[in-house]
Order: sequence, then structure tokens, then C-alpha cells
Amino acid sequence: MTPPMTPQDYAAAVRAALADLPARDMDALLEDLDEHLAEVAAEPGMSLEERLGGPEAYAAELRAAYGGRPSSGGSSLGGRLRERTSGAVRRVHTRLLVLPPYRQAAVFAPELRPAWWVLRGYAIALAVLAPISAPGLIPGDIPAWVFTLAVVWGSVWLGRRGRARASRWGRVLLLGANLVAAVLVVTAMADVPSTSSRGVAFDYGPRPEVYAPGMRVESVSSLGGDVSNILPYAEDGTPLHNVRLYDQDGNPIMLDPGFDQEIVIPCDGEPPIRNAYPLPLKPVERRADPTEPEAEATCVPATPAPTDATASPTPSAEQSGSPSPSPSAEPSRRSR
Amino acid sequence: MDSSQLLKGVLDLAVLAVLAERDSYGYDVVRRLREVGLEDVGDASVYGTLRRLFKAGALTSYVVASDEGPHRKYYGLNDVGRSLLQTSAKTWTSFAATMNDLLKEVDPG
Repeated sequence: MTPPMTPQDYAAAVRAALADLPARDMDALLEDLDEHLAEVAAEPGMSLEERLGGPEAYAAELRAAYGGRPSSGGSSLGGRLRERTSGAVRRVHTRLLVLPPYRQAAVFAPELRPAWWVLRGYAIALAVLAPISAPGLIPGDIPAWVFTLAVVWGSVWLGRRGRARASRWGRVLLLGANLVAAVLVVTAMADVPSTSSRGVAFDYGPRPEVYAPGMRVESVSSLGGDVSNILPYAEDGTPLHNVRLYDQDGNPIMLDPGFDQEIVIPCDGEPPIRNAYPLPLKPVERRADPTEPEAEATCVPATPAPTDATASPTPSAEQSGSPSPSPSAEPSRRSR
Repeated sequence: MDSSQLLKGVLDLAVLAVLAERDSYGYDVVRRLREVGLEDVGDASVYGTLRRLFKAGALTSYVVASDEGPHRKYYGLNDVGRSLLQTSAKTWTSFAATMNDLLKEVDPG
């Protein structure tokens, strides 16, 4: 009977049995072989071979569990390419996981999947409807809404069914749809700020004096905070009225009265000139019914605002709320 | 039927499940699998499986120095591993339910 193998002998025999593997795989496989064997050998009662089988059997088992490598050239070019791409993506992913924000996003992202299904359906439905209905970010009429909801429903259904059940072509189609939807959503988002900033300008109603394009002062500030009105005075201290301000290009300079004040619009006269200072401002009255049209509520029975010397409002720091698109966003969107 | 044949198909799942409980080094995984009743599990199979899962990007690994014994390479699940465990567990559960259903009438004697 031969004496029991030492861990060194055993390890050498295993290495010899795996010598045909590429060096990288062999290193990976045998990395802690020595430690393992030492630990097994330290256990009382059984020899290495009784416990693990012969080194050849051990090597074969290791190779089988590792998956070996199917002789190269066995897989198609497309398959290898796909494997390499997904491998690269996975490596980048693994490396990025070191960054805490990425890690959190990676964990959090799957929870957002249903939201994406809804958004995806919505975007695709709107894109389909775009040529036949009024442009906009919401469907124009009831049939458009029905169609949109149907597409959203389909998108959610597809998402819930899962990718695994789809055929190969189904998966390609789904990938395409996802890409299209993503592009649509991104372009829509890029488009929104420009349309909404256009919408903020107070540019409706008959205003013969206003030159297009109206120049709007977004954020003029003084020591007291944002400027919501301008009070011109003559050299001798008399308050001036109806002073028109223009910029260097001849565009009227308009101020945003702010969130808390609005311009007094007479019911029967000309609407106030937007660059005639001081602006006739009054505090916004909070209406109980917010759906009531704003123009009716803000209009006041004719007061000769320009001639009323005491009507000049005093702007104060407290009144300078953040600029809000609410007073004009609605009408100008309609007029678009 | 030899249970080691069955084990081959689910060793990945078993190893992932053990690592989901806590990070382990190779021989510890072997011992823990035997403790829960998978006596037939081979050391080399477990080592090979660990290496393969690591290579596939499902595991993280780090070396822990120890004073008395050898340095040990610990493995743990990363997000890929966790989702792999989840889907494999789902597959296994439905497969096992199907088999149990099929064998309901059979008396194992």
C-alpha cells in the first residue's frame, strides 16, 4: 500500500491533469487549491485521496464544474460577438458598482421599470398620433386618449410578460421600440423648456404699442430682491408716469410682476402697456374656484390708471415671489 | 437514480443560496452544503462552480488574511448574482412543483 499523498503531491498531480487549459483559466481554477488541500488534510481521520478521490478525478470534477470551454470555433461568430459585448458591458457595470451613486441607481432602477412601461407606451402613442392630431404633449381628443391608453396598456402588458418569453424577433422588436421611445422621451424633454419659456411671456391681447419680439426681463434685482415694478422719478422728485422703457435694440422691457401681484386690466379700455412704468399692479386675489377664467377676475371697471397719481404701487421685498408661469402659460399655449 | 446526478443541475442554485446567507470561502461553502444535507457534493465541483460564477460576473471576491490559517478568498453575491439567484429559484420552484404534482400518486414504498 502506497503512503498517503501529501497535499503538495496531490496539488502537483491536479495541476498536471489540467495542464492543457489556457494559463488564465488554470490560474483561476487552482488559485486556492493549496489552501483547500491543506485544510482537508488537517481534518483527522481520512487521507486526501479517501476524502477527495484521486487527483485526476478531482481535476476532472473541477473542469466539469467550471464549464471547461467548448472547443473554440464551436460557437457562431454572432454568438461570440454577443458574448464579448455582454462581457464588456458586464465588466464596465462591475467596475462602476464601486461608485455608491451608481450602485444605488442599479438597485433602484428595476423598481422604476413599470413607470418606464407607461412612459414608453405614452411616448409611442403620441408619436403615432402626431401627424393626425394637434401637436402637444397630451392627446387632443377622446379617440386620441382611447388610443393612447390602449398603447400604454399594451406596453405594460408586454413589460409584465417579461423578456424571457419573447421570441428572438420579438426581443429585437421590443429593443427597437424601447430605443424609439427613449429617443422620443428625450427629445420631448429637450423641447419642453423652450416652449414653456415662450409660454411665460405675457404676449396676448391687443397691444399695438408692443414691438415684437418683446423683451422680457427675467431677473432684474436690486438690493431688496427681485424687481417687480419700476418707479421712475424726475430729477426734482416728481413721480413720472407712463414711462416706456426699451432695451438697446428697441425691444420693450417688461417685468414679471411676480407671483403675488398682477397687472390691473381695465374691462373696457385698452389693456395696459407692458413696458409703461410704473405698472398698475394689484395683489392677486385668491379665488375660491381656481378654474374660473383669470381674465374676467383681473379686469377692473375703467380706472384711469395712468392719470391717477396715487395709484403707483410700492413694491416690496416680501412681494417678490418667485416668477411663476401661471398667469400666462394657459392662454399662450392655446395661441400656439 | 443517483442524487449526485440531480445535484449537478442545481449546484449553481445551491451555491448562490448559501452565499446569499453570508459570504464564504470555498471550503466553507462545501461544508455548509453538506451541513444542510447535500452530502454528495464534491469539493472540486463547488470550487469549479464558484470560479465559474465569479467569471460570469455573479460574485464578488476578496481575500481575508487570517493569523493562524492560510489567507482565504471569500465570495459574495453582487447584484447580478442576486438576480440570478432569484430567477433560478423561481425556475426551481415551479419545476419542483411540477415534479411533485406528477409524483403525487406514486408511492415511494
